[in-house]
Amino acid sequence: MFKKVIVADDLISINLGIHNVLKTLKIGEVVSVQYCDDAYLKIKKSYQEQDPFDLLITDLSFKKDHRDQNYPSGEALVEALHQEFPDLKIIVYTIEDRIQRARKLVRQYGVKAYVCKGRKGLEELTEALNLVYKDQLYLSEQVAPALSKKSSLEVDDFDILIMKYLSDGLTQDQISQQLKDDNITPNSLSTIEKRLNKLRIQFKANNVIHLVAIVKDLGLI
Amino acid sequence: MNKPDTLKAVFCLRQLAKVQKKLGALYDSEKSAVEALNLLEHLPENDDNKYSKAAVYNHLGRLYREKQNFEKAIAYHKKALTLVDNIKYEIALRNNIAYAELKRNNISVAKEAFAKLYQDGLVLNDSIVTARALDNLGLAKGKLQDTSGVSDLQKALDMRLSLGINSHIVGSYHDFSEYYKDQGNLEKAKRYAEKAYSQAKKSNNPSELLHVLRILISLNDDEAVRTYGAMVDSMKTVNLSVDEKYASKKYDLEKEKALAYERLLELEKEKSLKFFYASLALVLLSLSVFVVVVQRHRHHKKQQLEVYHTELRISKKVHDEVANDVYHIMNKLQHEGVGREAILDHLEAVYDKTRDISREHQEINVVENFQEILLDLIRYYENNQVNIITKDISKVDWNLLESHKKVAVYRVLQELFTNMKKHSQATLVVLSFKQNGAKIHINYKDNGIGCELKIQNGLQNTENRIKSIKGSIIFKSEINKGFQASIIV
Repeated sequence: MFKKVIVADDLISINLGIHNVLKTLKIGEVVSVQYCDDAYLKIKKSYQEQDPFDLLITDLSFKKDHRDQNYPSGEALVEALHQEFPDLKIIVYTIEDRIQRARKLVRQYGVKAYVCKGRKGLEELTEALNLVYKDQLYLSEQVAPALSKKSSLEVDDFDILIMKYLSDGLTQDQISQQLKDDNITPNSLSTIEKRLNKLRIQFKANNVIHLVAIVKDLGLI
Repeated sequence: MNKPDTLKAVFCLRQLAKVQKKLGALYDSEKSAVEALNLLEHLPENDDNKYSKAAVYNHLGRLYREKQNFEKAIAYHKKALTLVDNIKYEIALRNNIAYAELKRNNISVAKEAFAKLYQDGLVLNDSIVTARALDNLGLAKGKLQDTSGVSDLQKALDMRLSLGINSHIVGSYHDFSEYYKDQGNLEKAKRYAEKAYSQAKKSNNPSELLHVLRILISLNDDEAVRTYGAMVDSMKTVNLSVDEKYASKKYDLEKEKALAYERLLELEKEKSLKFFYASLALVLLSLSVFVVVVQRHRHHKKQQLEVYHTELRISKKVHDEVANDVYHIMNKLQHEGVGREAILDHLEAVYDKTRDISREHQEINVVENFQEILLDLIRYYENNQVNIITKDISKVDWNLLESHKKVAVYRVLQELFTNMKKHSQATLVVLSFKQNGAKIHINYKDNGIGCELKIQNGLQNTENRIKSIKGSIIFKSEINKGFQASIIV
């Protein structure tokens, strides 16, 4: 497990929560800071003394107060650290659950885990710590789509066309024939079957007839 | 000057010109005549004005004859001739022209003209005109060495004698004398000159006497007397030309003066024009400054109002959704036997609500790939209960849309999704996009329970947003028929 961890969060109660988690994981040295600038300086110092931190757990949003900060937000801190100490592992632990933000941090700034604060926040953090230690990524459920390659539920003109033919009463064979006649590819029966299956799932239809009814109700054909 | 005044002025100038000519101030007389002419130019053309003009031209012609400038004299008389339609005036003018031609040594032209005048005089049965024409005709013939001239002169003299006008009779005798002088018959010339002299003495008109004496002197036997006469004549001519020179200098000076005055006037005009433009520019400038200030003030006010409304909305939301729930939890906790899990569940719901409120108002970065941003938004609202299906989202060129419009589109879709999640119980949402020139059509449709359309709060908000970017949004819904919104931006 990690040996030396620094936690940056301006809410002491949350700091305490994280400390508990880290304690159960039996991590030896845990340092807490409430300002991004402090985190930066401590990390820099640790590298200079050749005893670097293994991990940074940081919030994204910090309350502004009387102290002027070079790094006013967790994002600014992460950006700087990623440049200077690319091998420092970083877990973002935040209330922010925007997919975009998560994607940017993971893709551009090499953040290893993005954990959303929530009811199960601390449990997720534990999971993240374990995975990150094994050099794996972790994203909370809310922001998981940030990295998923799963195609969105997009329908295209081809989908609309075959559903249109279905609603006109054509069988799948006839649709295939019709597409061939119109020089439209793909037009094989298997393609049509695959497409209709995909559409049935997308539109939560029990069968093809149901699909046509739903699509018609939604005004797509 | 108004019209009656102008007429009076013209009349006075004409009289002045006549007097000045009599006094020998030929230049001043000409000036007065020209001024009268200028005034006449501005008057409407009627018979009276035409007559006045003709009279002024005639006067100018006679002035030039006096100055021995016969060409100009003829030109002015001819001008006058075009303006008159009275036969008497016409004949007088033609006589003047013919006389000037005679003086100019265009004798045959003069002779023709006089012959014609003689015929006209006969037709008119005007013996004065006839006699004058005959007399002049005889004179012209004499100069052409035509001896029939003498009978013309005689006839004219006879007519004049019977008319009994003294100056005319003197004229006839004078012309006889000149005729004979031209013929070289000095004896007879002298005799007629003496006759003229004695006739002239009867009326004692000095100018007539002078006229007659001049020819008498030119016929004198004594050479000294003759030389004296010639000298007087040439002196007169010299004086005339000196006068003319002086007059023209004086005229030039006045012209210069007038020019200088005009220049001054122009400068003054320019100055006032400059002043006008300067003040116009100033007025425009202050007006535009005023408009800008007013616009800015209005914009500021609008912004303030918007901020105020947003604050009001958030505070209402916090009150309605958060405070109520928290109060509810407090109530629950006061009663025994509520499980820890139940409280946690409830608290989580409140937490989510606060997150929703903050999400609705947090800034969005639309600089990045906007399609991705929209897809993220869609993914956020997708879950096991609801599928959000998109159509042709990739066929829209979001770069054509300005940033503030992108924000509006994002917020409106967010609002629609939030409503869908909260109220509709929908399991399917179709979001179709269409690029139509520079416009983007977005159609939202779900299969939820629908509602009776009441545009308030959330929907009102979306409508305002779309209106503020000059787009349009139409809602359609019925109970159990889903909810639909068509947006054009």
